Amino acid sequence: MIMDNNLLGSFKPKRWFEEIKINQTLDPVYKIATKQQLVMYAGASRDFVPIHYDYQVAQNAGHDQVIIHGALKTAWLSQFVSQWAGVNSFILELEVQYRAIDFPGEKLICNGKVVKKTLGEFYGIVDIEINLEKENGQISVPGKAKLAIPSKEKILE
Amino acid sequence: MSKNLHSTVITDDIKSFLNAESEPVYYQIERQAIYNFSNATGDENSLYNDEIFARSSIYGTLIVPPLFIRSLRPMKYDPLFPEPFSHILDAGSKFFFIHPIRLGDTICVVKKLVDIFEKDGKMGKMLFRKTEITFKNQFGQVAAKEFNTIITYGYGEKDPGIDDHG
Repeated sequence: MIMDNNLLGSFKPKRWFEEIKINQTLDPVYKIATKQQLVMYAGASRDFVPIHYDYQVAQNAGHDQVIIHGALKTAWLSQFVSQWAGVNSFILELEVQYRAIDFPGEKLICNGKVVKKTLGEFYGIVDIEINLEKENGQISVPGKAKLAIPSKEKILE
Repeated sequence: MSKNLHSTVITDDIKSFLNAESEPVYYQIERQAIYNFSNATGDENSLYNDEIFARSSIYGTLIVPPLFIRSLRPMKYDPLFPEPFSHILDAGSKFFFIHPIRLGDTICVVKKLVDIFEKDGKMGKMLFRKTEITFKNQFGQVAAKEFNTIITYGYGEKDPGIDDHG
């Protein structure tokens, strides 16, 4: 994301780049989708593949119930890192793989760990390994996020 | 009819779609669409939900959540991609966010088929399609890019909506 170097808006950063440590873990966030949420997401994202809202189609594909959209799970992970970093930070890159199918009612856990820090031209750049995990420990969605986070060195220089 | 695993499903017709681009489609970024998306994903971030707050931010107005770009669907290829299989899986994506997308922006969306390959797996032969989707704003700047991988496989009755992806 390309931004000016002199703007923080009206808000004090929730998190400064300099205060973040390698191997620091993000507090986990739990997510449980409802069937109603899948219908709302289908409408909001215009993803009308029926396996996400039509029980018969899901059953024909061998599932006991409708399945959660992969991109909804990614939206949760983007939300998870954005919330951790604060409104003065932003996501530069996000990468995900869909390894398992998840269902409404399942408790899913967003996890993250800081793996790299570099000082960019205007911001600090922080790489985070992220994943969405089932309660039994299976990783459903592994991924990576690269965030720009306000740096005292850059902004206050 | 049995299918030979050693045969290829990548016909000349399919190969001809490599580097094919969809016709551009334009979307105006509307307030209610941003609210609906953040509500559907359970995202309470004030940058997407609170216009007064967002006006005081570095963006000067509401912006869209990162995954909102998934709602800005590209056009289907014309003619349609000659899909040989019946079932579809989304394998994953890599997103690049370059410029913020703000309320009122006009975003032009084009998809391009950048790679096609096949693999043999538990479900028989699978076709992988990697698509690059480019989101440009009204200033001609690339606001975001998505590289999405779709897998199709299996025969029989086609999954409803299989043509809406990839």
